[in-house]
Amino acid sequence: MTEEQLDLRAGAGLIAREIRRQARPLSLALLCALIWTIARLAIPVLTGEAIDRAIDVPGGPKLDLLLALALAVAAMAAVQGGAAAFRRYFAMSTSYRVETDLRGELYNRVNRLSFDYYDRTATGQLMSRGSTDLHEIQLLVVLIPINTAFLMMAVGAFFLLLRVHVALAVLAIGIYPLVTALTFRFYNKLFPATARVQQGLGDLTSVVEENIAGARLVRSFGREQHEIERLGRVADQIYDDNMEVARLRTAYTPLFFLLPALGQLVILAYGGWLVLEEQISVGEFVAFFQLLNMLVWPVQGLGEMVASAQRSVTSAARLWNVLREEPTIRQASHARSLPEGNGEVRFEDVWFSYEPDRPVLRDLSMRVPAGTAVALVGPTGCGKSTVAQLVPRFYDVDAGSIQIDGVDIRELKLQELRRSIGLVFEDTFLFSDTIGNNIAYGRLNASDEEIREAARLAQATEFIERLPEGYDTVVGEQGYSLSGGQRQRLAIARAVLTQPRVLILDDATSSVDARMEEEIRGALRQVMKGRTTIIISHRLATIALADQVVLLDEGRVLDMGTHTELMLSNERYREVLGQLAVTPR
Amino acid sequence: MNEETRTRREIEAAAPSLSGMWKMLSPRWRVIAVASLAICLFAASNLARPIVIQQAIDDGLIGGDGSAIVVASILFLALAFAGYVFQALSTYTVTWVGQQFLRDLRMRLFTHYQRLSMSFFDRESSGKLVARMTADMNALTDVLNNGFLMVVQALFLLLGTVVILFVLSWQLALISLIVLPPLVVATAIFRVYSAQAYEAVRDRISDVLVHMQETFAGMRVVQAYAREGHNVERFGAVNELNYEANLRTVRISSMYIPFIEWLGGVGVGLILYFGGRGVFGAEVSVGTVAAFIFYLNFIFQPIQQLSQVYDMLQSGTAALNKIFGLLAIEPELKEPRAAPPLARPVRGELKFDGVSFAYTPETVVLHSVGVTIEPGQRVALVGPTGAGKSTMAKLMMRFYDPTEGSVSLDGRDLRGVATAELRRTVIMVPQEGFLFSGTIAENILFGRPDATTEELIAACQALGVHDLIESLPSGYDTMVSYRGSRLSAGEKQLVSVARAFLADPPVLILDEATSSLDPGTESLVEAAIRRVLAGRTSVVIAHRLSTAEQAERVLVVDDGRIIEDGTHEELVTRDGYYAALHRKWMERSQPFEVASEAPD
Repeated sequence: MTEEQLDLRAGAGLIAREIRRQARPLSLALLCALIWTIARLAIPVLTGEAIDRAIDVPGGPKLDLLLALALAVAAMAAVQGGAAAFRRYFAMSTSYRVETDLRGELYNRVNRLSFDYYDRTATGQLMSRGSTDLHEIQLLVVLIPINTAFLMMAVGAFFLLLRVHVALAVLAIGIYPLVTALTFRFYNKLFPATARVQQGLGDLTSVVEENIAGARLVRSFGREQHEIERLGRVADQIYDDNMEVARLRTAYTPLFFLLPALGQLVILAYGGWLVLEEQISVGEFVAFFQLLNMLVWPVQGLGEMVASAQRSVTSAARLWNVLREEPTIRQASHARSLPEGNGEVRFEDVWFSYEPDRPVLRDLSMRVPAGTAVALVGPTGCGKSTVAQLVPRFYDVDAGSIQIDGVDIRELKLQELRRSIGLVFEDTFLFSDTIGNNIAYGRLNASDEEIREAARLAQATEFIERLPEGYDTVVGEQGYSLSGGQRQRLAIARAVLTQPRVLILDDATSSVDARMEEEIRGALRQVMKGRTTIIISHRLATIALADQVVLLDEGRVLDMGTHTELMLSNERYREVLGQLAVTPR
Repeated sequence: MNEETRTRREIEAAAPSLSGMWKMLSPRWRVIAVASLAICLFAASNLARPIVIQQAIDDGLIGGDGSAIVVASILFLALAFAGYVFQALSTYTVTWVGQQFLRDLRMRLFTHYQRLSMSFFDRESSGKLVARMTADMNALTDVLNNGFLMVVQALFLLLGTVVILFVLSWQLALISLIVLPPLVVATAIFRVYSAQAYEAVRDRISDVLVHMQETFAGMRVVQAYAREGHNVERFGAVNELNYEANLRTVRISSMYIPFIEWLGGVGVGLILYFGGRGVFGAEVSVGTVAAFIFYLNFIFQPIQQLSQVYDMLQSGTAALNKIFGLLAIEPELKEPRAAPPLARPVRGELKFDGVSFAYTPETVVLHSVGVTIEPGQRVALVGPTGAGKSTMAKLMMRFYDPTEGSVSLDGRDLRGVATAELRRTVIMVPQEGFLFSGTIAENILFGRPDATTEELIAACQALGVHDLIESLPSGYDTMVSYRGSRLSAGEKQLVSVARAFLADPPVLILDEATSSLDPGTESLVEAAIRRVLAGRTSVVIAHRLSTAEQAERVLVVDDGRIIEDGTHEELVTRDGYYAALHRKWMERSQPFEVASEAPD
């Protein structure tokens, strides 16, 4: 897979846009952060005052002042707590808002894109945009107000110290920027290392999944030891990667505790000496100790945020690559509705290619008269499945035109066009929903009777009613698993329910066994009655359902006629079908 | 209350798994001891610092003794470096022990999977077995990497702080510990609510991801049915629900956090007021007041940490129980104690003697089946789905043992043959060509790992698949995998047959594919199967007329019994099940007749 081109500037722009959109709650969060900082700084200052003016005074403690200061500390703590709560609330809710909005935008965008995009994009890739990358951005948004508060606190503490003693302030705080820089470095190194661990865990999952799925084979060939060795290699790799993470942690984390302690040592030694010199008071000494203690966390947080910002800009750039995509198939500006008609489909001099200079259809012309069935037959790669994809405008032709009831499909309203075509694909995709809802996928307002009627036409009633919960049985990835033939019949029911003007069956009987094919053929015969149908199949019995057969080769129509006519007259047709014949006796 | 009893029950249930865990850990007890000691010493170095400062304040600053400050500074520096060393030591050793344990446990569980009988895999869902090796192991990683360290450290800090505070001044200790009960209660309440809220978040985010996954994967269907608008609406709702679930966790923590911060302030106020008044006499010095304020942190942090660890420990224990629960399962098929090797060469006579079999006591699948398959005979098993054909095949492979009667090979009961030898002798080709991730060559060599490249190619040439493999992008080195692979069903089948051919077993069991293959490879597959069956005892579960026709002997299985036995020709004329089936087969392939006869 080729490395994705990332526009980091666009990524940063996307984050900036989201922050501007959330300017109000974010500035409220910043305001709370400011209040929090003031209250938090006040506590050590008040503590220091209490020591200097009420406790450590000649003639014993001044009780009134002491009580007032103690109450003031508790009051400031209450303010600090309240501000922290609001800051957290605004910051977190904003970040989730950003995440939710961007996810919605991503989802909407992907829904609007055209087939050529899905052809070159893996689902897993889109999923990681919608989960990991968004999470990365969410994390940054949370960190912004929190770290702004920390930064304000650090600056405030520095000025409080400066006011009392410049040299002490510079010496004590001087070490903290180093902590920030180290944290940044640490996270930058940690991230790829943990990513490797995750990668290893992913490898382990596939080995285990494969081993369990192939358990019979492993036993059949007595390859248990080999499998154990295979897992051993992955497990060792995970161990090594984890130990690499451990080495990084061992090298850095203790430093994050040692360096601030050295700052405290400065206060203890140098500050202590200053107290003896009577340049600062005992209260101030205690207050600074407390202040410095409070800074340990924030300076680490800053480093973490810079590292996080870097990652989330990359994530945002990846997200932007999806958001900026434009659909290639667009509705014409003055699109018209479908004309009256029974679904005559006409291909006129159609050229089409997925990749430039490799035409799949070359000057293809054919006509499917309304209400009749045409089977497309040809060797693998002749372009017959492409034909099916062009009628609903999943792709646009390069040259020539496709018409339904005399109108070029590019002039039609896109959704209306697609609703008028019923498609049954080779592999039936079922959504994790009830059978009823899967059948009603193309027509949401269908009544229960209509759904049942569609199922009846598709000859699916019998097996559906045998299921534990009938039409309410949940199927799909998370639900009850159905056989290939059952799925196929649901797809047929789904197509029939929309009462399509044109029905397209793309290899609808290929993934089922011969007995099942017979049942599906029965279903097809029912639903094809009087409806324009395009059948793509390499099964003779299915081909036999069509009124006409079109023989395709290398993107052109080679011949046309009934099955019997072609059998008798066309050598190539016999050749293509010959591969299907049962083994020679 | 309810939760308490449940927790206790869980802990009691965990006893065997905990002892199992200790058995694996005990060889490394020295490192564990070093790690524990390092954690405690690190915590101790933190605990000692406020005392040093207290001494500096009382003796140095207030007492005006400069040397006390120097001593305190040196002590402080020493403590800081000791903390550095012990923290580094504990970080490394704890991870080392944890990762060693996890690697061993992974290998042990996986090795155990390899020992278990097929019946186990038929019963258990593969998702569950994968989760034991992945999600549950990850839950344990959390406990081992962080949980252990946090618990030891938090408990040590908490107890140490309480002891020190009482030694410094028991009266002031009592006063300042007033904040403890509300802290514990608030944290406990918070834990319950936030656990619920986070569970809701997990459900909601999984809804979001499932919805996304399905839409993205099924995008073609979505657009074919013009469902984009409706989807966007539905996703909007799911997405918003996730947002609200997240917001709830924020609201809960937004109530807890200010309370805790306020409580911290109250603690400082209490210490200042009661410590500063000097009501407890001269022993409460300014330094002591300062030390108390510093120590307050050591009460708040550990309690919050312990509440975090609580959830971690719970899921860790649950994971441990599930893993050790699996390890306790014994393979159902016992390896024979003394198994003399089969007489060479293996003739390949398979005999079912009064074999009955039931997966569960209620549903008997085979009813005293008796049949002998002669050496070198080509046999087709025919019959409706669920008749017992695959069960017979599984018994021949000894994936299961018969409930009654016996299955024997060359007169030896399968239960008395060493599994490794049996597996080399009887090989099964499953219905769908299964590929392991790796190259095509590796997949074929799976059957005989020590075969040379020449032998591999010779085998493929003999089967007629060599040209097809060579035509692939990287020939024999083309990478394939059990998930997405570019090979067609027919090509996979060919690799699967080649694998068995290379292994060259005296007895081959083949489950024929039910679905049709692409026309390009169908004839190749049939030719390859004919070649691989030749010259050995073979049993084919047949789904095609042509396969049954080619067999030397057809066994018709229905409802767990063999109801017809004979050659194709005999059975067709006998007017039984097989004859009826044959008529249906012929009807169904009517169009085929047109295809093959019309040109003549």
